[in-house]
Amino acid sequence: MGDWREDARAEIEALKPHYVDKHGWQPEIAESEEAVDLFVRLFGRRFPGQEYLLRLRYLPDWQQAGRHEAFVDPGDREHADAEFWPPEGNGLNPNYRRQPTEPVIPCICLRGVWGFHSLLHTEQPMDETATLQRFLVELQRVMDA
Amino acid sequence: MAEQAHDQQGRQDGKHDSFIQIEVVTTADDLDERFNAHEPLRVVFERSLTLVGGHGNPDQFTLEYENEPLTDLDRTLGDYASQLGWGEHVELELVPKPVVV
Repeated sequence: MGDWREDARAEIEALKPHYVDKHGWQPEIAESEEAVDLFVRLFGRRFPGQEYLLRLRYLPDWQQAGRHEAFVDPGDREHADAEFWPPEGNGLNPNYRRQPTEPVIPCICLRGVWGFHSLLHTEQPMDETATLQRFLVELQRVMDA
Repeated sequence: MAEQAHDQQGRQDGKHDSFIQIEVVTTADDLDERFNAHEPLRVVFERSLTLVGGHGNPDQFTLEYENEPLTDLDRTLGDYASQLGWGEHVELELVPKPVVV
């Protein structure tokens, strides 16, 4: 089994220029002791003039648990909050709570991310089709639809 | 005259079929193959599905040209080429539909 960081970097670097250029994603990697973070800029036809900055956080268990998703402040990417999420719907759940009394856990309900595999649909394991590339194309479709 | 007759015979034999080089961008490997213009779009769709492991779920994918879906899989490639102005080479995209559970 390969090193989880190397595997994470490899799949990020394998993103196809066709999609990156077409959608203006501008992927950037930031590494820390605990994680490999991927930042992707998203613009959608549903939200004219609006820019969203997605952070996908890779942790040592990412190949089982999925990539931890969050939208962060495009002007200050250290700042993650539900207010930076696109409006709810089509798998975007910025206001999700397990129980009404529990804190909000914003999550995306598309294959490939932590919200899908480890939070909401634990019975559906990661599979080989849940690639970063496919997740981002599906999310872009949600943003455009 | 002899040349015309030869041409006519060639058409009847299918020797003058036209071909289109089709590239399909997918979220896995890309397809880049030459197809006979008489073949239906379905052939390209199914070859592309194989690349993404989507044969069990064809309804989760759409073939698109310039962001517009190509919905009639039974139409020939030649028909689409005439309608959409494809040349000898065209780039399509196999787009997965978001699966929200």
